Amino acid sequence: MVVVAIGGSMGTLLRYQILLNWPVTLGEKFPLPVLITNLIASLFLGIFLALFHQPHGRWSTQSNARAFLTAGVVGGLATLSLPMVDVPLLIKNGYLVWAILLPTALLIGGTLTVIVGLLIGGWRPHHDQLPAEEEGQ
Amino acid sequence: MIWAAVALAGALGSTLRLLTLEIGKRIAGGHSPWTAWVLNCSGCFALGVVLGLSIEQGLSPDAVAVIGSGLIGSYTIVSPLTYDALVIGIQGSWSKAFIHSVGAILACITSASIGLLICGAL
Repeated sequence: MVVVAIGGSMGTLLRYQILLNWPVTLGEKFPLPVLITNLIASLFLGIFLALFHQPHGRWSTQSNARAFLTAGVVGGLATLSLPMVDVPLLIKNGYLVWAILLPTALLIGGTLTVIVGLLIGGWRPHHDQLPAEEEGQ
Repeated sequence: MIWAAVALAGALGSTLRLLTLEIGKRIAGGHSPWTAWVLNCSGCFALGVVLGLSIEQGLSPDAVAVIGSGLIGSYTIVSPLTYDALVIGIQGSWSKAFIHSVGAILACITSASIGLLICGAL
């Protein structure tokens, strides 16, 4: 739990810095920075899950490092609540297309980047089971 | 100094997320996608309230950064929508995966809207 908290604070800080330098205007603009931050987080979630899943790999026994990187850093970096609050505000201001595009891009883009990450991390779709998602990443 | 408070809130949010998922696991008797629904909906509702207060009542940007970006931002998670869906899909049912993801997103948007509505921001 301590490693998740430390990783979480680092991921959160990273996201905070990204959005500080590349701000989001809620309900008025498409929140591209939030989408990109989440896609990067999904990519790294896939990479880390696959790396720590390799049965005889050097990472497979490092459960603390796994929790630190997945539930901690990646979990802190990714955020769902901000885009979800943005959708009703976009609808309110008449940006219906963006309001539909945002969750769609998050869903499809997030799933694709997770798959790409898994493949980078060495996951083989027809040989390996999907790594278990355990400690709340 | 605000970054230190954001980092601390992020640590707290991650720990809360871990605890919520653990409690959900105990109640459901194992990994259940519904736990993430409860987690995300509660977080989206809370952020709706915080941002609603910021828009309507002029809640200070520092408070929004610490509570919104830090605590709630790190508490909610995207992976149930992406990774869980992938797991459900690969286990056999892509239509179930699709319904799961779209349902989760709609539930989150509804929770966020209720939060915003309460504060009069919608």
